[in-house]
Order: sequence, then structure tokens, then C-alpha cells
Amino acid sequence: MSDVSATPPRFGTGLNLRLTLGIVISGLVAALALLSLVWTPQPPTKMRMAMKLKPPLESGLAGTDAFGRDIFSQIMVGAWNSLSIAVVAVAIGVVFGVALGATAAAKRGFVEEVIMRMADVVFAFPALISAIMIAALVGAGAKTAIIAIGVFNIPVFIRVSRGLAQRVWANDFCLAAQAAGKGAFRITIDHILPNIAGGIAIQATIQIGLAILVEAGLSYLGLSLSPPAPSWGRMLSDAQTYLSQAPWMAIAPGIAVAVAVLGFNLLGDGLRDRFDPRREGRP
Amino acid sequence: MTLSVSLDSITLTSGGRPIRTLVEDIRFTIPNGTTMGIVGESGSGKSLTSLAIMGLLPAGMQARGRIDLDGTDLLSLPREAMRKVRGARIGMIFQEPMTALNPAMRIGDQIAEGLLAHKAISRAEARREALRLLDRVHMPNAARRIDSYPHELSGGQRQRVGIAIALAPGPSILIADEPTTALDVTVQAEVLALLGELIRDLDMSLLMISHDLGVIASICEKTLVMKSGRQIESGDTEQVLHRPGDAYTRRLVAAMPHRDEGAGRMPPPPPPGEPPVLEVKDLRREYRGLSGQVLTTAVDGVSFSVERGTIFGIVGESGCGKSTLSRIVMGLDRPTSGKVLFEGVNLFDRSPRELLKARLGFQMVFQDPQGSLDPRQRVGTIVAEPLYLDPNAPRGKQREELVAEALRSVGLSPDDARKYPHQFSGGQRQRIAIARALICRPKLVVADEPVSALDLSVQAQVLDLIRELRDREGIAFLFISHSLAVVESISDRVGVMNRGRFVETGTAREVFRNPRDPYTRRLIEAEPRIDQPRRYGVSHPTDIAIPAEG
Repeated sequence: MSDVSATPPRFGTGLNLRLTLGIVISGLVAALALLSLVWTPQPPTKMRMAMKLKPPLESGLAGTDAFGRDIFSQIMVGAWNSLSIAVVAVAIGVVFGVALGATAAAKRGFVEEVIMRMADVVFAFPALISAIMIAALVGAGAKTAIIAIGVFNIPVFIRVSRGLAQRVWANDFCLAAQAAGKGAFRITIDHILPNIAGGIAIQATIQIGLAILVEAGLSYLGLSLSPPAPSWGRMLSDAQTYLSQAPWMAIAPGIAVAVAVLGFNLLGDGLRDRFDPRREGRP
Repeated sequence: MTLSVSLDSITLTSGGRPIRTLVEDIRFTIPNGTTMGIVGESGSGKSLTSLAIMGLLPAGMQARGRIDLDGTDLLSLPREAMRKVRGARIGMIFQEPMTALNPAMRIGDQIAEGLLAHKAISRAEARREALRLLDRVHMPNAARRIDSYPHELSGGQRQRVGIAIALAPGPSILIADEPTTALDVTVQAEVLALLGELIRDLDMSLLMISHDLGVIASICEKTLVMKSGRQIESGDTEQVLHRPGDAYTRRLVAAMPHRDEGAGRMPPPPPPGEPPVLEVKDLRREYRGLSGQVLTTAVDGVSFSVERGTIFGIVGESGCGKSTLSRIVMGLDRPTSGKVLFEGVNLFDRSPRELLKARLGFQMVFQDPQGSLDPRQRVGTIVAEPLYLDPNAPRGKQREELVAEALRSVGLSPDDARKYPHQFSGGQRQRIAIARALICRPKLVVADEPVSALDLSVQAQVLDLIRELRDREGIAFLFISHSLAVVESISDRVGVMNRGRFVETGTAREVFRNPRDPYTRRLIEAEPRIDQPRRYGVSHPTDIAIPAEG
């Protein structure tokens, strides 16, 4: 069928629905997070006992909590907190994961075996377990959450980058580079990394969505940011006590987590549809 | 049964509107029991034409016109009725027998599947019929092989299974799209002989699609030449290939690698006292298992030398060890024993550092021009890559000048340095790969199947370029290929390789005119050529002595 594909490679065309929705939703979440740095409707941690447990629209967009704090302002600041923890944690995963994964693909043999088995071991511990261990060592806080989520992301990126790198290594241009006298490290820098960057970026987007979810779980258990810094997970756990009186206290952060995760997953899937040649032509 | 095709067009449509016409105005008729070949280069629309007949055009493509099978217009048949025609009346054989077969299914079941879909018979009967068909396609040990999986079979045996599957529902026309392109030349001869025998004995028609004029000439009575979706000319194969009426066909025939009938080129005599550029002495490469026993010997005591300004051709079938040999010569693999002398110094006696330095003197060109260029790098970066090793290599403006010169020497423009590989055609990409090999003025270029992935006319241009570089720059080439015709036309000296050994070496003329080794003779016999009459599927086949494989 070379007859039809003689034109230069085009990976899908234009924006698909998933990609568009993903860009809009995750863009909105990111915009709210950035806006919270300079402006929120109310100071997010200011207690106003007279205004406590007001339903949405009676006070602010999303009502107030048991201390009269404005929930929408807390959601905005929470977006910044959760997004920055997720991004930093995934960045840790990318840096260490890609370095190890690319090394495994370049060195093969014993080194590869050791790296992959280590990845398996780390993979066996869910982020929650590592967070509890780290919290026991250094105490709860943003650092704990970042390290726990970062560590849990490393094996993901080891596997993805090794798989992608192995496919690039199979190309003759890597043999040509070897023939030109380049070593494995130099070939990785010149040829492997530029060719796997797209796939890694797609995986990273999806992992950010997942990291937001895990961060919410950790802060729900009190293992992430300490009060009074607003965080979606802790807002959910605070809302439990008032679930029958003030359900909006749970609904707002619940929606926030769901929308943010959905947004980044759609963005990741959309990017994959658009740029991954393997999926070209498939629905 | 007569198939009469009169396609007005095949168009690529988007949202119901035609956006590009891919095939236009193709008309031919295949009367009962005759053979017809469609020949053309990539992008000529020959595969699309065959898919249109089967009603298997990819989504988004539409065929207009009339495809008439005994009075029924196949193009106007509803999907369900077309499914009954497919297989039952028109059988199809695909190029790549490994991907056309289901790897997780026993071959007997795959043949029976087609039978059960078209006939009301029991499983046991279908199995008996499958066994009969495997016998019919001369599968060695059919009774045992019927329960094999595709990966347990050789390429030729897999293609036999593909043919058995096509035969199963009893079609009267076979469409074969490049059925032997993925096979070695001796296996190709067996498969073509089988196809010829079947259409003769079962009185079937055959539509053969191929890029290979020799294959078409050896089995088809009539030939149609296609180019860019149009019919260039058609008629008796003999007439089309020997007295072509159209300029394009003439160019195509002229582009076929041919032995030169004159006295042959006399390579320049080696300057006295100067060692050969490359000398390989008794080279062995064994692969051992964990316990140390020899599993295979890929290269088994090979010796030869390449002089300055000459081309040494190595020809052999897949698995003969020619690629392992080229990797060792390039220093990408180490031999078990033996020597590789580059300008008189053994490569593997040098320290790794010196070895890297020495690499500047020899470069490599690979088979697949798609895979050998990094899609993320600009052509300028790709071409300059071998300079990486050279500490004295010029930088900046001077380096650009060097890249421009290398591009010019392979017939490209210096401006191409800023483009990316996907902006070039296959032949241009191979020129880029050659420019990369030339940039550090090597003494020796190892070319591993450099033209196998290219169309005939592009192949001829690349071969001319290699000859020109040999004569102008005095570069020595180690030219590795599976194609006898290509090796014969370009080499000064030739080594015929089989199972890791050279069975015969000598000048190209000696080896191909008077082959001494039985294996060389078998290879030459098996190669389909256009200067021979049709030999498969005729009533009294020219007997060619090719023992069945296995």
C-alpha cells in the first residue's frame, strides 16, 4: 500500500474533539491556578464565623465552609497547590525515569535487567504506601507528597522510555551513528531523545492527571500540605462531617478533582491520537 | 470465466467529495485461462487496481467504471454479494506471507476456514480438503505440516500455504500482488513454478502485480505497464518488453541492470607496493550458546581483497552471512578469528581509540533509506555526522561548505541541507545516505543492499552514481546484494556466498558467464530475466533443475 502513503508523514489531521476538550479543560484549571496567585474572590484562609455554612451563590460562587471561608477561593488556591505538586512530581519521574529507561535501552544485557527489575520493585509499592513511609521519616507536607508521587512515577517513565528507545535503536541511523564512531551516550543524546520526546510528553500529560488524583488522596489522609494551606483532598475530608448539612462543601472539591483529572487525561489521549503514528487511522 | 476491467477512476474522497484522482482510465480483459501482468513502480496505482477488483479499497477511496466478471458488474454489487465473489471466484495471494497468515492459528485450520465459509461441509471434510490442497501446492510432509503454525515454516512454505488458502474455495481467477517479492531468488523460482503449474492444470486465470519485469516476463502472456495511475501501454509481454511502443516502457527496460556485452571494464591495475584498501583473511564469526557450544557459524573462513577504485560484489540469499560480514568489516562486530586488514593494518589489533580514528577511512550505506536517516535531524546534520570523530574537522562556515560539496557530489543541491528527510523521495534519501558516507573522503564504502528498496529507474541512477564515484574519486566499494543482476552489472570482482562461505570468487564476467559451482548455477538459473521466453505455466515448461527446498 505504499501507493497511497508516498506523501510525507502526517499524523492525523487538525484538532480532534478529545484534544480540543483537553486543551480547554486543562487550560481552564491551569488559568484558575495561576489567577489564584494574584487574585481570589476572598482571602482563602480568612475565617468569617458569621458567614459559616452558607450554600453556593448565597456567599460566593461555591458557598462557605464551617469556618465561613470562601470555598471557591479555596478551590482556586487548591488548584495551584495540587497542580504544582503534580507537575514537580512528574518532572522528577521524567528526569530519573527517562535517564534510566534510555540507559537500559542503550546498554542492554545485565544493566537493562537490573534497571527493569528495580523498576518492578518500586512499581510494587503504591504511592500511598511510600507516602506513609516517607511521612513517618520526614513528616507530612508538600515535600512528602512530591517525593512519594515522583518515586511512583519513575518506573512508569522507565518502561515507556525504554520501549520507545528500543524502537528507535532498531533503526539503521543508529547503526550509521555507531559507524561514525559515536558511543551509546552520544547516540542517545543525538538520536534517541529527540525521537522519543513526543511519546514521553504524551505520557507525562496523562501522569499529571493521575498525580493530581493521588495528591488529592494523600491530602485527604493528611499526608500532603498541612493546614491552613487549602488543598482539594483535605477539603473533601473536612466536608465529611457536614455532609448532610452542607453537601456543597464536598461537591465543589469533588468536581474540581474530577474535572482536572479528566482534562489532563483528555489532553494526553488527544495528543496521542494526533501525534502517535502507531495509532494513525484508528478511532 | 472472463474478467473485464474498465476503470474510469479511483479517487480519494473526503466528506463525499473527490480530492485526488489516484488511478485513471485502466482497461484490460483477462479471458479464461490466461495470464496478465501489471508492472509499474511504486505509486503507479497497480495495487489499488487489484484492490478495486476485489472490492477491498481502503476507506475513503472510490472506484468508478465497470469491472465485469461474466456479465456481473462487481462495482455495483452490494457488499454481501461481493463477499461471495471474493475468495469463491477470485482468489488473492499477498506479498508478505508472514503477515497474511494468522500467527496464532494452525495452517490447516486457516485453509479450512475459507472452505467452511463458502461450502456447506463438515469440519472433518474441510480438514481432508485442506490436506489435499497442501499436497497440491507441494508442501513437503503435508500430513505433518497441516498442524504447524506459520512461524514453524520457511518463507517459501508460508507462501505455499497462502496459495493453498487462495485455492481453497475453488476460484477461477487468482490475483497475486507481488507474491514473490519477499522471497529469495531460488524460492521465488519454486513459487512461480507452482503458480504456473496450478493455472495450467486447473485452467485458471492469473493477474500478477509486480515491480519486477523479470517475474512478469517469466509467467505472464500479456503485460500492462502503469505509471502515476495511468495505463502506459499493454499487449503481449514479449512485444511490450522487447519492442516497447512507449518511451516510459523503454526507459524502464533500459533501467534494468544488465551485463555489459562488450569486453567489460578493466579495473585499473593496483599500484605496485600499495596494499589493497581492504583485505579480509580467513574470517570466522561463530555464535555460541551459554555453555560454549557453537550454535551457528555465520561467517565461515572468508577471504578476499578489495583494491583501490574497484567494486567487490557479494551476492547471496538471506541468512548466508553477508550482513554479518559487512558488520565485521565496519568494526561493528568482532570476528571469532581471522583478520580484517584496512590498508595493511589489522582493524582488531588496534586499540578502541585507534579503531575509531581508522573508521574515518571507511563508511557505510544501508538498505532502507527511510530507516537510515534520523527523521528529527536536518539533512545538514545527518550528512556531517561522520565528522564527529575527526578532531580536525572544520567547524562553522567551512563545515557547511563541506556538507554542500558532499551534497553536490551526489547530485543534490546545497540548499537541501536545511530540509528534513521526509521532504525527499526514496532515491534522494539514498543519495543523502551516500553523501553522509562521502563527507570524510573515505577510501572504502561498504554498501549493504543499497538499492534493494528503490524503484528500477531510481536504482539505475544510484548505481550510476556509485560507478561515477568509483571512477572519479577512486573509492573502493564492498557492494552487498541479493540481486544477481545488480551485482553482475556493477561489480569488478564477485564473491558468491552460501552458508557463511564463498562458494565462488572471480571477476564478474567469469563468475556469471561460466559459473563453476552448482550453487552459483542454481542462482543464475532461478533468476527471472526478460531475455528469456515465458517459462512458467506454459504447456511444455522449459525444464529448470531447481530441487525443491526442505
